[in-house]
Amino acid sequence: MKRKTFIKSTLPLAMMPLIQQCFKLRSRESESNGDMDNRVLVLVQLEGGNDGLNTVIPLDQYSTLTDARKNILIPDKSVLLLKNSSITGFHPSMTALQRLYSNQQLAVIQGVGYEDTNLSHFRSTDIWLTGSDAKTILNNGWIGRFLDQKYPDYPKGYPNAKAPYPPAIQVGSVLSTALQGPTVGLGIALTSTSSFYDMTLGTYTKAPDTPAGHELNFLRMLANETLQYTAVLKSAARAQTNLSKLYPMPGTNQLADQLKIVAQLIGGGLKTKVYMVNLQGFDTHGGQVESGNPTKGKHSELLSLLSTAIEAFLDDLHLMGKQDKVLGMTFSEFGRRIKSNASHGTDHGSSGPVFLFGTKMKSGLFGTNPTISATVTVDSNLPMQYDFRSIYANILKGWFGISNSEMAQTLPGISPAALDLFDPRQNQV
Amino acid sequence: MKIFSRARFLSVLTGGGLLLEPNISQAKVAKTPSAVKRKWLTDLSPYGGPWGQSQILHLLRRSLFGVSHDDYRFFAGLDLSKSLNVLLKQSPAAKPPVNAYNTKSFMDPMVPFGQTWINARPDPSDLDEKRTLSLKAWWIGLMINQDRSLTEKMTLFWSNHLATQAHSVVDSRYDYKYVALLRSSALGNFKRLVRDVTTDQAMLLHLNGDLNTASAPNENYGRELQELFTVGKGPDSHYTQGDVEAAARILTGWSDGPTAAPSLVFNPANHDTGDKKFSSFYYNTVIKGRSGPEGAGETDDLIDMIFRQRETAKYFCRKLYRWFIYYDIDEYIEKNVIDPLADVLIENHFEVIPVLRMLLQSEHFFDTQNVGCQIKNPIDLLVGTCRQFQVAFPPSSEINIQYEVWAEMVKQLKLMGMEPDEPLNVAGWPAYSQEPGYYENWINSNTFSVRNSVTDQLSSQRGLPTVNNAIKLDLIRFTDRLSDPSNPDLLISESTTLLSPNVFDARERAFLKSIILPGQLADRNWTELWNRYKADPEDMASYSLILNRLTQYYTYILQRPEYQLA
Repeated sequence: MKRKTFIKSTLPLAMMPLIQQCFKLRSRESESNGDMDNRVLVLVQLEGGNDGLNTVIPLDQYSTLTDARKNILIPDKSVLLLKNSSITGFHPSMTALQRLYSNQQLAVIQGVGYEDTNLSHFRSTDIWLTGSDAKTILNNGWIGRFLDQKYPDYPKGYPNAKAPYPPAIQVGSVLSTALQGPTVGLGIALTSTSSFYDMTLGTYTKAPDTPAGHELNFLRMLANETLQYTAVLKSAARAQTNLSKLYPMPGTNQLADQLKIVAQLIGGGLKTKVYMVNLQGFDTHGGQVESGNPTKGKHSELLSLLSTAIEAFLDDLHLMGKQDKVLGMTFSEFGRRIKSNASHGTDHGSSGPVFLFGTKMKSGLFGTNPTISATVTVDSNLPMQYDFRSIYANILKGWFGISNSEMAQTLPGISPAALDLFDPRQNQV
Repeated sequence: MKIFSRARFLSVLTGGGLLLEPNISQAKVAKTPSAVKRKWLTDLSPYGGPWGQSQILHLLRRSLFGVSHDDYRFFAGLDLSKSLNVLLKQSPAAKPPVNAYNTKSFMDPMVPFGQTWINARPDPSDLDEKRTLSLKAWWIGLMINQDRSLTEKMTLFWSNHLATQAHSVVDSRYDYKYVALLRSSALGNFKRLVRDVTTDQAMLLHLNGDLNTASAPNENYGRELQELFTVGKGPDSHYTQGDVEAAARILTGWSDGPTAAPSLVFNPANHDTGDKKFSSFYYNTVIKGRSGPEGAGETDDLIDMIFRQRETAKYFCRKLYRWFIYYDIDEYIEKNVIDPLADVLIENHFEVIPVLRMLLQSEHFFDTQNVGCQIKNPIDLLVGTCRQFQVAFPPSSEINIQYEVWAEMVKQLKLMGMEPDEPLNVAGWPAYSQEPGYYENWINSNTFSVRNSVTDQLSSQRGLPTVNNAIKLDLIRFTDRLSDPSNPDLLISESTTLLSPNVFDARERAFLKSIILPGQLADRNWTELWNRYKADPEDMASYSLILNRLTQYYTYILQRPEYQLA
């Protein structure tokens, strides 16, 4: 698309706030579900493009898979079979997630993606974060549009007595595009895990003992005080410590370090609706597995970090008594190619699995194993089973209970996938 | 008779320099970490060390509002001496502010749209408010469009040193004359300017010189002239209450003239014609009382006397030091910098150019202990950020939009604690006079969050909204002018060097890289994207991706404590 035509085609977007005003009153009145108001969504972004075929492994496709990705394929004996399944299993480093699956705290949705996958990291990430299709360019995020309706005029007049908490919190990075509303970001970023502890403890990284360092120390100290919502974040952190013994050593698992903060804030009573955390390094073009030892390597380490972190997080929430308030979701900008490359890695591909974790959604396996043809080429990709935006719609509707008009503002034209993710508890496992 | 009786009454109550407490919100001022011990080896000897990027940027950060790519490239071709030749050239007079405030609902009955209002009667008061805002906006415009000259930073220096407040003067004609006087004297003569300001009409109103008569003396200006403008209150300044009273008696008789014809008036009937005797601090000087129009000449004698006292030169050099270098003046600096600089000022009959040249070309100025230690004042932050990123402001053919944008900047500056022509009190802004925190007075949890909100909006894709427009940084253009923006490491090291005097360490650079290249992506992902954009800048997809990444990147940098320093 050309820039000039883009400007014209986005004109209706500029009118969105006006349209929203008309719906706001009605949606507020219908907000009677107090339970839903206290619910939290935690988004875990796996950055770089996760290889779904080595994460959720279709054992019934092994003959063709062996041809396609012999140098990286996990030996079938090592695959962790999912409870009540003989044909689908996890990567061997995902023992923790296997336990969660068996305990009905994990849902696995296979084949999530979108039509005409864009294989640029940047573009595909923006598609997932904004909730657009492959052709449309949006500059605000799906969570941002959702929260913009819950927090009218944000940040003007916030925090206030009715909404004392940040609408969304990003841990470990700058504010994600997903949290960008039509005009401003609907949340705050704790750019590093250490910045959170600096803020809550009033400490800061000391600059050198020079006049410039002296002023820098002063500014760093003030920066702790300045973050909007400092007071509520501090008091939440003071009210709750982490309880789980399953967390790995600090500094050894970036995702666990971030989720620890999320658990502490939720436990401490913060009513923030959405948290975003991330795990980096999934762009495994080379060295995805160790040569000759496909159960080891970069990807194995990442999946182990992911599994360990989620298990510890849910354990922590359980010990705090908050397990029923929290839903988690993992996603990645795309999957990877069916065929591996010569450097024991995989190149950018299309769909992949999405995990939901928690106690309140329906657990189990959704979707089917993909069929791997005997004639896969370098360019072959997995077919899409679910549009990622329809999964977003399930969550918004089933978890947050948003109205149809709010849905129309958040994900125009999208309906929830035909999945009973939030039906009265009927687990498939 | 004055028509501004109520406002004038207020100014009598507050304008006397008695209010030294800042009235901006001081929410949660944190305790300052303990002071730094410095070891000095440098003095006013001419700097002869390396002349590279960090020295050039240091000089320009202290001399201009922000440093654009063009500024840096221009000075990179000059040595220090030639750079100072350029910087020490006084800018020419500017066209005066105009009526850009007429709207359907508000029309100036005297001044047509696009014409200057500087000679029009300032009433009723809502009209005067429009014009005062016009003046403040116009002044911001001058700073944005500044020459590569110290003129604008020195004009602001004078407005801090010889402060009046528009809201206390309440006559936009006088406010304009005052600002124009400061600007035309920016690189002029300290003594001449103090003499001019003493009978400047804005100053007469601000410090009650107009109310000071033989029968009812008012000491306000006579005191501040000594306490704040000249000899100051340093350890060796020993002027007495008798000196204040004598100065006040000398200054009796001046008035700003009738509202309809505002010419400066000396009224001999109001002048105290007795002799005025000064203390030993002023060498027991007696200024002979004169009657008739000659009484005005006593004011010149008073200024001559005050400037014969060496404390005046020293006090002034300390103010310059705190404006251009750092606030903490220890014994070493007093002896090796302030004292010799005062000699230069006196030898040059109070011309400021030789003093500025000596200071800015000194070893001491370029001492690494003096680099990056100034907390930017709000004007430096806002105007500097816009200049640094070369914001495209509306052309002079659209004055209504131009003034609207400048006025929005005035509004944001007020929120950050530094509205132009409104120093906090007669001592100026506390950042340059209030111990022990000095610059740190700019920052509290309230003003810091406004600073962040302002830069967040400037770097956002929507920009900082004004009534009908927006002020937006051109992040792509700024990046494009780096030596090789397709290389993420170079992009980060060069842009941070330009934007902050403080070195970002490896850990911070790695974080910055994770913004441009999320998820530990390889460098080539950015290189390919940048090259794709450059091959077809009209392609929306790559443009938008580049802009998203750069918006997050610069938004983050501009929020950093490091970016608050110059």
